[in-house]
Amino acid sequence: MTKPFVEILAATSPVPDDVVELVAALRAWCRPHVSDPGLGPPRARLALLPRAAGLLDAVSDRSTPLGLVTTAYERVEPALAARLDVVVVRGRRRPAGIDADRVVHLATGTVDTSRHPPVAPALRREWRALLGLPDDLVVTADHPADHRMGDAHLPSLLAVAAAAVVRGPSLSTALALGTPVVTDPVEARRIGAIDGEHVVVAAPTDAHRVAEALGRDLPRAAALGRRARRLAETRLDLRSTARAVAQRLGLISSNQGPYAGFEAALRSLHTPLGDPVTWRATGRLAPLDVSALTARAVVP
Amino acid sequence: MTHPDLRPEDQEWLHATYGTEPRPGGDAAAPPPASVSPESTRPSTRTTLRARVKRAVAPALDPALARVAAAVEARLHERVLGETHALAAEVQVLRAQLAAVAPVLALLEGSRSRLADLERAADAARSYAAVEINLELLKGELRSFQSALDRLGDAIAPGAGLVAVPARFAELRERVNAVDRRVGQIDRAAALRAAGASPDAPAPTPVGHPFDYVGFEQRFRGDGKEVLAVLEERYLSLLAEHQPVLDFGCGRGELLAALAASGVEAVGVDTDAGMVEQAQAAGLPAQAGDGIAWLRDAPERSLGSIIAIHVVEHLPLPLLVEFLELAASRLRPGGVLVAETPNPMSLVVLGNSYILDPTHVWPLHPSLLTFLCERAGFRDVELRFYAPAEEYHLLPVEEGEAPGLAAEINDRIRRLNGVLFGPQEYAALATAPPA
Amino acid sequence: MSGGAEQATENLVAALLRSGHRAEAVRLPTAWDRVRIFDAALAWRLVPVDADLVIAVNFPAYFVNHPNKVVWLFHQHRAAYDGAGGPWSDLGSDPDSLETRRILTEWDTLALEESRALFAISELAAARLAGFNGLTAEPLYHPPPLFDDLHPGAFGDAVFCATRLEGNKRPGVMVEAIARTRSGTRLEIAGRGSLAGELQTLACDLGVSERVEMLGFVPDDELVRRYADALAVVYAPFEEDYGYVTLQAFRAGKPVITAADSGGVLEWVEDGVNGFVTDGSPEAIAAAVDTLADDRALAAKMGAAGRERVAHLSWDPVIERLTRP
Repeated sequence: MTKPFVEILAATSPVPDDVVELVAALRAWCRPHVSDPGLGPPRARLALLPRAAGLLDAVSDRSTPLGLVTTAYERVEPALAARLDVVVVRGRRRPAGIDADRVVHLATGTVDTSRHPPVAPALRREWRALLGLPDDLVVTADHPADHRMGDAHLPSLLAVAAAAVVRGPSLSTALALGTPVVTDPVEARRIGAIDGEHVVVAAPTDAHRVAEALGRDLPRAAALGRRARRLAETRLDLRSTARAVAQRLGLISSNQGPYAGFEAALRSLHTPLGDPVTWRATGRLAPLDVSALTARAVVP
Repeated sequence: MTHPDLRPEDQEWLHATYGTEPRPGGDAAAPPPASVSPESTRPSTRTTLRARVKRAVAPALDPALARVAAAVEARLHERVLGETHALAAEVQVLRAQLAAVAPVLALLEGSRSRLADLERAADAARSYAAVEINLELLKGELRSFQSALDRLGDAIAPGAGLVAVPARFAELRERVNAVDRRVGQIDRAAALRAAGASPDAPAPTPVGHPFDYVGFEQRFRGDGKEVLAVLEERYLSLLAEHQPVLDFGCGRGELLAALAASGVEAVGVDTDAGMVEQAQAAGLPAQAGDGIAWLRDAPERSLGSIIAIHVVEHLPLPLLVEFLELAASRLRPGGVLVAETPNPMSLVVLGNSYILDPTHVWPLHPSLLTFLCERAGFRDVELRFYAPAEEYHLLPVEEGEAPGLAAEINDRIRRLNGVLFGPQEYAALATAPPA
Repeated sequence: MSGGAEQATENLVAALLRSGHRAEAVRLPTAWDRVRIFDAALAWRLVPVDADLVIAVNFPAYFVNHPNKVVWLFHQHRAAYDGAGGPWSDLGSDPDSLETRRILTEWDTLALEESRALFAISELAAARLAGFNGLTAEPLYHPPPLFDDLHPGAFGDAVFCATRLEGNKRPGVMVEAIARTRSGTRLEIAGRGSLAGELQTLACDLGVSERVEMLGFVPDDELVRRYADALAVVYAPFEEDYGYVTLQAFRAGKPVITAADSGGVLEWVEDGVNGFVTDGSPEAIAAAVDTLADDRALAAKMGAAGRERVAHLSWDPVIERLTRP
């Protein structure tokens, strides 16, 4: 089964990197291409800028779903907005005049949450004991040098820390790991985190002291870490953003056969494919229909 | 399976870098507390019995023991040998089993590294997908861009397309300027008639000023010999191809001398009588007087080239316009006007050397001079920029001084240098139109 | 681990029926070993429940997927949380166990987050949920079984306990305590379990086998009688979530002797007011028994205080709270 072709409408100005990544992530459900007569009519269209070439023609084609990528500061005419099936907004602010339920936000600083499963504070404590790390370990990653330190190792540190003071690119990773995080107001706003709900906001001079206190308060750390992970899953994960866009463009078919409920159950528990649980469960179902199951196992 | 960020190598690194001694508790399941068995607390009765017997029997036993000992020793020796053989055989078996297991272990190792490879391949595939997408988007942009250019070409040069646009545009420009010039002449004539003056009377010559220009030049213009060498390098061959040459504002005649030395036919004119006398004394063809009047008197299409070094910025606008128009008409077809003047786009010039000279009238932006030349009737105006103020340039940073940011910082420094310390002078090379 | 929740489920269904709702209990078999621990959770996830309201009371039932899900948490799988590394858990602190525990924690958190409302059976259970999963639950207290039948009576010469004979309930401590009393008070233990034989042997070894009566399974009416005739109730389990025995004892007007690490029991027992909170050692428990044996008036006073302490318990507010939209 080939994936449907989605026509990409671009313009002469260069496409930003995060939009390129989003379109790349959409390849899980479609083949994004610029217009090409050899590919036939598209299943859906996605315009990458409000002044993309061909957008006006696309608007008049009412039978094909249409999406638009824009920023909060661009003006989108009401006539165009009414016709759009999804508006992907880069950044957190919603542009005026567009319904909230049509909007999908593309965050700055995305992270692949399936690569960094969350670790609750109680279990972090066990890991620290196992590895001989100090029990009140506070990790500081707020300097550009920290993020170059060895990409392989910073997530490991963040996964076992009692609390962390984080700014910069690793903030998304820290939130995905469910780390109790202390950060500054600018970073919190950048990522869309709320003080007391997803992170603790403090001035840089107080940050370490606040982090130590947070690490000692287990219920508070557990609640913060849990909500931080939810934030990462819903708003900072590129794949889930892409999935939301694909869904609204009608690229994810609802009828997927007998295994749909099973996959939905695993997905609702945020269980990635590589998890031992998934292998065990799919192993149980394999004797029923091997071919169908393995084909579907590729869809995230 | 372990957490993807806490694989064995990550655990090792964490422990090695930050850990102290691992606290106990690494076993899969703590065994249930063992119950105390009453038997282990009762003393053994067998050792006490044996001791008693030994003490009683000892004296009678020794000689007998000696006899028995030898036999026992031999039998013991046999037994030990037998057991050693058995042990050796067991070791063989174990070794064989180990050898059998070794390839399986190697296979497992191989699978592990294969898994790592797969992970790496997955990463590569992901970035490849992003690159592919980028390519698609670039293709789209390129297509849009091409079609825009095609439309532009058709708009300006219908039928011929983009390639014919420059020539077409030059033609149109010249036509518009010619019309403008005619309109300007008619306006001027009408104004003069209204003022009661004869339309043919020459414009009044500018009053000579008491400013010690000679002394000023000596101090600020720079070493005469150096200046001449630069002029020769820039223009000598061009002037040699377009004879005869008029040096408009020839001063003491250094350039005239160089031209004469190269066998180029030239004449110079300057308002400063003193300087002209010096030139004449050296046998150079310099004339004192107003250069514009000289041009007015000259026949049309008689000159090969006119060179005006740092002159045009001293002329008020009406005079400048007249000079350019006269130059255009007095040059032969294909003749060249070389007007070199300070470049105000380089801000160090504008704020430093340009304002130094109080007789400068107006900073001539290259586009302005080009425009005026075109309006005056010249066909092509080429701009050449010289002498960037390199001694002022901000130096680029090394990669080590600003890791990751060096490229961006250097780009900005380049731009800044371009604006602040760019070429300090430029020459407009205007070609007279063909017949 | 399922004894208390079993009874509570039955009583909950009965209470719902009494309040006029149509209610039905749904159960699935569960395997508790670490290899199969996720199977039942996943099974619950796929169970299609057509009901207006689903009330889940323990692991893995709360994995059921329903838009109107209310969780009244009796038990998580404690072997993966505070019970890990302990004698009745197959999960420890090695990396594999930690990963299993991590996945289970995340699954629990997700499943419990889905609920429209989240309750727990006690402050202690709610605190455990907050510390391990970062979730806030409202404590919702309910009456123990036989609440309407239990009644006060005379203060006899035996202390009573009704409990499962397993390690976490620590029945051995009671036997050792009785051996150390000087008042000759007897001990009656109702209940079955794997430690029954060991306790009998222990009583013999300590020379108190005549004073310790192992009753085995006791039917309800006899249970009510034993409670009514007891001098006091000894109940000192390890970190009990709720503790029906405490509430039953108080309903029967008897003081409760417990230990400082008995968990949820301490939400009810106040040292010196309606019982004794000892350090859990046999000597301390024996001393408390002797105090009451010598002073039956004190026992009566404490018992009365205990009965008042639980007077407010009722199923009606529980049903109302659970079914409130």
